[in-house]
Amino acid sequence: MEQATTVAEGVRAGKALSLSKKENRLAWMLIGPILLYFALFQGFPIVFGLGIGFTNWVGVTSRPTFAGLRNFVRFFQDPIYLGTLWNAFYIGALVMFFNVTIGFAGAYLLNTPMKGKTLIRSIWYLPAVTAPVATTQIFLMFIDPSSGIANRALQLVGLEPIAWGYSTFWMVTWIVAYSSWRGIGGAMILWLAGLQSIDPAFYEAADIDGASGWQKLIYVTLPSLRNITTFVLITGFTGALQIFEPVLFISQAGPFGTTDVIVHRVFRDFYGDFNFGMAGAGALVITLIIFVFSLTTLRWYQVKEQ
Amino acid sequence: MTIRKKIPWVRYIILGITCLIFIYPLFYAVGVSFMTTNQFATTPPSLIPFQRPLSFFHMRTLLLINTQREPNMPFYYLNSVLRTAWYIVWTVLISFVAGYVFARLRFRGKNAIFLILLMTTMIPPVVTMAPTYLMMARFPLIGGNNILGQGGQGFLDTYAVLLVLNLVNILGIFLVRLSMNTFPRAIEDSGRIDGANIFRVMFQLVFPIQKPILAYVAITTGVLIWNDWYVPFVFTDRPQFQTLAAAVSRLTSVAIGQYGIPDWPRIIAMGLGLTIPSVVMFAIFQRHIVSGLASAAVKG
Repeated sequence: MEQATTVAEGVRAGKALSLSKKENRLAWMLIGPILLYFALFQGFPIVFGLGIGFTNWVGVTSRPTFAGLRNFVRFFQDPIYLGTLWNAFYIGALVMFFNVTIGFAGAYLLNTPMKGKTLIRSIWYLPAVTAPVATTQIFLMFIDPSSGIANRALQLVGLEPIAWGYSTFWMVTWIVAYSSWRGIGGAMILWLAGLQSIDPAFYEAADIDGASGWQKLIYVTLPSLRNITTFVLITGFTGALQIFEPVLFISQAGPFGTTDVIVHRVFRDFYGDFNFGMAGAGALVITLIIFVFSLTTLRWYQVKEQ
Repeated sequence: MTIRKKIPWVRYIILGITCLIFIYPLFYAVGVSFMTTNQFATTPPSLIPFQRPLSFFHMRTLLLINTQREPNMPFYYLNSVLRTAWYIVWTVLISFVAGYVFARLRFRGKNAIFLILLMTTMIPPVVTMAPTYLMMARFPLIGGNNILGQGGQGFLDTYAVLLVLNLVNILGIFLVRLSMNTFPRAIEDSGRIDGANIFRVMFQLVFPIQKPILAYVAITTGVLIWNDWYVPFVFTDRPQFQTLAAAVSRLTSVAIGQYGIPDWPRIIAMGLGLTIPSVVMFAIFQRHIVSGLASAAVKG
């Protein structure tokens, strides 16, 4: 009797072992090719990209040489590179500010049962699905010096036309306007999802305590949104710091490079100048900034949660 | 009480005005597409951009009725559609299979691999810009390159380069895995007991139920690739290899230099050909986009 059970257990254990071996093989058979492709076409460029900044590499067919930190030293000494970093920061900060605040206001207004809610939400989000290469051209047409409606509108209210393309201030304004036009809807949908996930019981409790609308916003709504705030801040910052297409298509870093941003600079370094070393250095600097920001924000979130 | 009653109106007015602002650039683009280049250049711009007589010149090009002005227009559409379809199929398939495997099967190194995959999403795309270009140019044994990647063109100016990059979407894998966590195993077990093998379980039982999240992956990938001008612009030269988005980018001042006067109706009309399909797709699938985006944020 005893022997029988041991045999049975042995058989069962053996079967389980072979089953998990089979499972292991099956899993690798399914996921192996995917991982192989990923490692080659997506993983390798990342590793390569994090290292390329330490080389001196100009031209596609030339041989790279090891440059140590020379590219990074140049990056932090050259006012052009530091300028692009600073521009990315303040243009990104402006875009993020408008996206987050207007997006929140929109979500707050929409967070109620009302007619046409889906339609309004869709219209807000619509610009986000349009092609930047096409919609930047619409904005660019608006500020065409002779046939654009921006100057026409100024003329209609009796103001002098503006040479938009020759003013840093106005170019930044239009880049920010375009980026927010395209980005507010996404932020709004995230905020709205957050607002809708708040338990209505909290508001009922606040009503019983006689809280005003503002009090409810500050003491119920905002603390409940910490999760989504972290998400919006991290994705918003990451996206805003990497603004590229609006600069490339609307201002082309002009006038005189004063609206150049870091990602645009990296693109120019590698595609215009084929200076892969400097492009790699710029990319690594952005990566480090994004890492530091994301980790700090997550840390803040965890501290607040406790 | 009176304030409470007024609020819906204030709400509607504010939201209505914002909606007009969001829609206006697209509305204006439609108007300009119905002008000739001459009409646009010679008449002062108006806030309501419709001029008599309406010109269908650019619209004809867009609808492939008369492509004299853009002889390669059929290629642009074909390439855009092919490329978008290719990426949707692969991304959805890979996200589903990998997401399922990570959610359900036990295998060696599973958690470590998943963690590494997630970490790569933290790397900003700008990092891979230059390396991808070098890799495509010097890919061994492709396009006349020798084993060391020297001597030829690699993937540059080949059709393959339009199809070979970034087929794996980690966020898609992550979302499928996440959604599998709330999926009852009992359904799969009952399938297994009935004698179905794992592929039948995956594709006949699980796939139909995971459609909403896969629809989100499909539509975001589709819009991204449809709108992508960068890959054809940077990696290919031949006009027949351009997608519609890349063709528009080649009309912009980025490609033609700052000093030419842009042919606005032409650029805007071509841009509209790019925008309308995205907008239509969005209108059809907006429910999936909104819920997918929301779940990505709330759960992630």
